[in-house]
Amino acid sequence: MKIAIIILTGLFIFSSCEKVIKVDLNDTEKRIIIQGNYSGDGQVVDVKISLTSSYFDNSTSPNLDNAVVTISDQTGSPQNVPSIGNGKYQLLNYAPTAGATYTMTVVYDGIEYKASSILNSTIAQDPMHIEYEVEEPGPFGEEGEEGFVAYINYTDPASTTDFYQVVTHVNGEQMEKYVSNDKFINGSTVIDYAYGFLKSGDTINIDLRTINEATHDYYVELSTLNDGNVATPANPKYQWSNRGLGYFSVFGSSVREHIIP
Amino acid sequence: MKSMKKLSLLLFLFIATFGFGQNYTISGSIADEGSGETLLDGSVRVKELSNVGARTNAYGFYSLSLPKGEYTLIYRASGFDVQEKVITLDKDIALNIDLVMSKDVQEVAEVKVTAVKENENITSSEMNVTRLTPKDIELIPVLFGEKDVMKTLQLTPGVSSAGEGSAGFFVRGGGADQNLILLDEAVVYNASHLLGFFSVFNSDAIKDVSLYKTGIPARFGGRASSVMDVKMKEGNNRRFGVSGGLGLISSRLAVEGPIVKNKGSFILSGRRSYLDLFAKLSKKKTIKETKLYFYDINLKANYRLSDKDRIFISGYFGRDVFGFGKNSSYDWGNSAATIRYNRIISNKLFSNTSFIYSNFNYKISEKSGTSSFGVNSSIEDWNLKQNFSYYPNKNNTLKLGINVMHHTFKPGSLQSTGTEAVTLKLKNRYGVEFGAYVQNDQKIGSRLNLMYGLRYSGFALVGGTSYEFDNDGKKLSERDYKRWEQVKLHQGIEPRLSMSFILTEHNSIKLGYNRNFQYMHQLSNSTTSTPLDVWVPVSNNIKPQIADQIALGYYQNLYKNIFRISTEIYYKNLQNQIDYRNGADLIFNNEIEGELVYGKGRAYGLELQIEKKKGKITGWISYTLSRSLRQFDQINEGKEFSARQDRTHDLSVVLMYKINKKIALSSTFIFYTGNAVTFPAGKYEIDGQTYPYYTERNGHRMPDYHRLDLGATFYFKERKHFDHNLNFSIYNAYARQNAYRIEFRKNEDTGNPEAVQISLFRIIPSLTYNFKIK
Repeated sequence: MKIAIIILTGLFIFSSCEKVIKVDLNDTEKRIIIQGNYSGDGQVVDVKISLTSSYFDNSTSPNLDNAVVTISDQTGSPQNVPSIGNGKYQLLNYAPTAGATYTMTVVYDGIEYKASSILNSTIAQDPMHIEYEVEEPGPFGEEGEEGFVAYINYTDPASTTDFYQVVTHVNGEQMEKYVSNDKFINGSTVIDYAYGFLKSGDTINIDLRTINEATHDYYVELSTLNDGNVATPANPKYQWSNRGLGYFSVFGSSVREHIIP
Repeated sequence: MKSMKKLSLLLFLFIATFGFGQNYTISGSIADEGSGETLLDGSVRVKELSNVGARTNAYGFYSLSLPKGEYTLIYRASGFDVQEKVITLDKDIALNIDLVMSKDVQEVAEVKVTAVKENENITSSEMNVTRLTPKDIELIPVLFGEKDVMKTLQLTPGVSSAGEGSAGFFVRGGGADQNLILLDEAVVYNASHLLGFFSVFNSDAIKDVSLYKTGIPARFGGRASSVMDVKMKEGNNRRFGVSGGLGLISSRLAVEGPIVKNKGSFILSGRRSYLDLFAKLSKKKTIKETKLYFYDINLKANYRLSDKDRIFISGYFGRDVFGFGKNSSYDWGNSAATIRYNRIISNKLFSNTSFIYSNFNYKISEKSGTSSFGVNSSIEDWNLKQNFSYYPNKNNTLKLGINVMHHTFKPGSLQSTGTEAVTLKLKNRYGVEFGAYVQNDQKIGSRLNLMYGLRYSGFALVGGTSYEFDNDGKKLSERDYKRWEQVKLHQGIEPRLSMSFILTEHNSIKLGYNRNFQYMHQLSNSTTSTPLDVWVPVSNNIKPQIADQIALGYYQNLYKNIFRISTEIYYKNLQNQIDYRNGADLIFNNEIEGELVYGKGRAYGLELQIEKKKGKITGWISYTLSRSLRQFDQINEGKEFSARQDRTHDLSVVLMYKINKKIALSSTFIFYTGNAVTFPAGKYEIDGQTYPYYTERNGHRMPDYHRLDLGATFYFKERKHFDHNLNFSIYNAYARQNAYRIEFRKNEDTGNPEAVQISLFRIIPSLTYNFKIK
């Protein structure tokens, strides 16, 4: 826990220190990462495929353009998702069937990676609330900020167990992406902090995605990887067969956009 | 005449056979003449018979039955002059002995040869225990002006520190929660202050520390790897005394004296550190308002109601407080209280009844503007114990007893006020842990000493809410139980065995076997343990940890018993080990049992130690070569991996040099292989963020740890009623930056990923003034 660091740095501020060291990670093996997204409401299938890179190597992950990607629902008849370069693959106008289970298959270098995901019904997002707020001064005397704060607004259906992913863009740039579930809010109306502080003229776009449990758990496990102090550093549970990293998310999407006057 | 002879012959045979050779018993206590403290490592031997004698029990009581005759009894204890008593044994005798502390013989270069050779480590029937008596504690190196018994035990083979900034220790590859730490029979859950820097044991108040690593006696149960039994002094019942020390980092004071001379005494001691006073000197506001201190208080009183009855009361209260700025504070600590009653029922039967309370809790509080946040968590134990020691004859000592302990686990209640008021309470759980044991210490012939025993133990979980989960940790059902309704009962039989075979008066072989059940486990959400780690009991999901250990040792004394060499090899098998699922949620989770996975472990190793206990230069070298491995189906793809505490090499070199009556120097050098850790084997990007990619669990090593501590003590002129000295010590004399953690992050300037080592303590000097009014 962070407390250990806090106490001990407090204790020996004169003594503790950091330094950069050389570590031999034995990092030669390369594995595939497939990020598969299918937005039911947008009718778009977006896939990005890349490889792991050596840890201290500063170049970005190498992209793979020559994989064969197909998507199908439970009735069969797979559709090809063509490559559009930079490791990306896209299929437009792929009509969704509510409640269907979709399977994506990626073949690369002779190995087939498969993943499945259910399309849950879209939960509508109500118009967002915008408030003007002034923050309190901090505990050490820092001044508080002020501006417009956007709140997402939706009602969780009581009869189902729901998983969400909220993606927030401000002026075209992605600012937030997080997952949540309805454990504490089942059946309630949610008004939750989305983004602040905004100023006049800013455009805020919130996408409320209904994802399924496997994708939700994947993102939760993924977020612990960058927390330096976890007891179990391990890859999130594999979503793809043959130990492919990444995820396959099929979701309903309800988007609201607002320009601050 | 013939018939008379026949009759007297028959009568003689009759008496010889059925009169048990007319044995009589000598019994009593062995104590320190100066203070009246009973001696726990005292023994009496019979000069005329080989391998015949008795040891004192935990209250200084001994009992020895011999046939009618004349004997020379030799009474001894470590650090005291030997006393001989010639007796004519024709009836039961009560004999209380006061031994006189040996004058400091260290300025004498030659070794004093006494009538009885000092090879009790070879010949003693006490086996498989690492013991620190007050005499030993006097000689250990001093760090920050204090003699720390826990740090000293970590310098012996098979015992390793959990690392800087960590509160626990590992014994023979076991986890930090597998050590039973007792202070006058009360369980201590967190045995250190300031995350491992100081132990909770004030050495001014300690009488005896015994660490059992193998062949653990049957009266102890509840933890898988070791027992650290700490007994407090009773207090000088002959005269008053005050002792203490004033140092740069902490100070301590102890007051002891008689309640009624020779009948009752008390000892009250306390310590406080004041590192935050230095922080107040800082100009930076955040550091100025930092609170960082610990304090502890020990109190013990005892009274002899009669020759046969004695009552003891002891208490401990300690706290660590940390606060950062005005708005956050963390504090935790142990408290314990014990009432004990001894009765000498007959000269062969001794009884002890104890009633014990112990508590460990922590509180966190954070304030920000108008809202506040508080967490409270605790474990509370009530324990009743009854022990008997029975001494039927000179070859056997029988011990039996029973204990029942009630645990209350309050894993936490969270309260926050302000705009989003929340009160969350994790459900309390209750358990009743019990044990019953019987054990015999037997001497066979002149060479073989045997200890064998059996412990029956169990844990019944009662009340609270229990959950059922599937293999993936998803909840299937939950059920509420009434306060005393049983959820699950776990029980087991624990055989214990210890054997020593004396080859010659200079060497011996020892063998030990024990099976231990552990019914409570400590979970940790980080790669180091902190006092805020939660303890969970066994349940319908969690099984008791079971350890089976076997060890074999060879001991040799050399050169007139000046050097002692010991070698031990051990193998330990662990069942029902606990670890966490990937991405486990341990923060405030009522359904925490769904986040756990179960597996097994094994540990084995070789321990070597060479000690020199006499002369101007004393000390020891200890080296352990070992492995500690775990295997879980759901971790590392089911392949065996190194436990975090798998330290291949562990070396300690301790030297004390008493130059003359005025100056003593000490140095400690420690080296151990770094912990096994999981480092990334590559990286990748998801949604624009970079994540590490892992292959093996614990496949990498932290850098090796080593440091040198130096100390010098200057003794001022000794006066009749006043002793004082000045101690100067340096921790980490060559200022090595030992790694506490390695983090992987992006360089702020170049954006390149890099490995950053964080280390805690560099060189820390300290000065302490110690005094004793006697």
